[in-house]
Amino acid sequence: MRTATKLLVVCGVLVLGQGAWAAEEAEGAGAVPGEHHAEAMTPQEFISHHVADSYDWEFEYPELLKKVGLTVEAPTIHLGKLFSFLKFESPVGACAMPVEAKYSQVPPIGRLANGCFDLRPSKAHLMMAFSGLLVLLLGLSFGNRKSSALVPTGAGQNLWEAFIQFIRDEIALRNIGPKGEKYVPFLASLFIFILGMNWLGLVPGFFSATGSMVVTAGLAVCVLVVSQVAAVRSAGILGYLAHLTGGMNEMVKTGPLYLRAIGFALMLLFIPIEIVGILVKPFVLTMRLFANMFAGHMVLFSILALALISGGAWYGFSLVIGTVIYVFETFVGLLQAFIFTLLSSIYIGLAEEMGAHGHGHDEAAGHH
Amino acid sequence: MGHEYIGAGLAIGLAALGGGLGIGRLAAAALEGGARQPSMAGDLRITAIITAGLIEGAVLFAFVVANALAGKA
Repeated sequence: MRTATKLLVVCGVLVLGQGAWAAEEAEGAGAVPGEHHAEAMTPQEFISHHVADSYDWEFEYPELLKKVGLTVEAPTIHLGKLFSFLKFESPVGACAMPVEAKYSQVPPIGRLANGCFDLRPSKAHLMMAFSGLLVLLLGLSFGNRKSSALVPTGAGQNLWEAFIQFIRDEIALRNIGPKGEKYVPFLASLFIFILGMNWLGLVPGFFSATGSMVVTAGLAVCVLVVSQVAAVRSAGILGYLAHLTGGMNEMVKTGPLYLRAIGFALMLLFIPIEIVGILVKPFVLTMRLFANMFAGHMVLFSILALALISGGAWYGFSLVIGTVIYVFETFVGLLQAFIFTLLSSIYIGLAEEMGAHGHGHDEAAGHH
Repeated sequence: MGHEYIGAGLAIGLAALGGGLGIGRLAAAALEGGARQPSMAGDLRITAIITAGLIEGAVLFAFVVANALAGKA
């Protein structure tokens, strides 16, 4: 009950803050020129607008209400303006300058080269913060039960402990082995954090942070760092480097000269492969979570856009199919959070094993 | 002119074909396993769902690529 109250208070504060911003927005409505989502949106714009990250947090579904004759002004929180003090530019207006042609593939680096250091949070950052708050709240509420209280009481505490036990027994211990115990906090936080982001995106007006590739890439980098540190700690720095040569370091040390030469040649072949093998895991983690959430929302909004295109009877159709897809997305959000955690634990397990079995290569099972 | 759209359609179509075949085989194997050994059906179902998620991931890669090709991503 205690946490339920806390969560309610947090939600209340959020809603109140939101109302305050909306009111301020309404007051200064004349000063704020309308954003690009003016009146008529093509379905493509409608969809890409909703799945793309931006500095404006909008409550945009009035777009659909407009279609049936209700005009509701969409309240918007301009995060870019709100946090404009986090934008550092050395010549004033550097952020608005066009990016040089050689940086056209990576605009952020081009803007950095222009002298624009932009730390403003976008919608995705905000959703990450909400989800992080959720992890923090849950952890603070249930994570430090007094060890003198032997029996957990209350639904929240029981659910929490069942969840932690699931993470420990089914994910950590099963995939990492006896050393898995110390990774339980990391894996549990990862799971709740991702689940929170996935499900926040399903709340109307909110945005799925995991539908943005930078967020999932950041998470994957966390997993990469944890697994590589685990590998170095289990195998030692020399063992780690020896593993990078694919075990060919043994072949180079002993034996006849021609075998050593072959070993050396193979070593040159293996080192890039091993490095790619390390880097492909976080890449796969990144792409899987991102693609699932991005595509899921895209499909959802494609169905909703049917109503925008055709109107009439399609409202009912898109509503029904949209609800079905919504429920499916709820399931996918849970599943993908679980899969991300599971694969992370497998990668950490492979890293932990590195010290245990020398330089063997039975990690094919890990490359999904 | 429009070649991107053909490519995008082919990409997502072939990926959906592969994913569909994969998930079909997975479901068949899981059902067969469950029928042979009903006590394992629960475990098999969980594993099957997880694996279906992994296969689906591959199809969604193609979806993202197709989106990029069609220039809407």
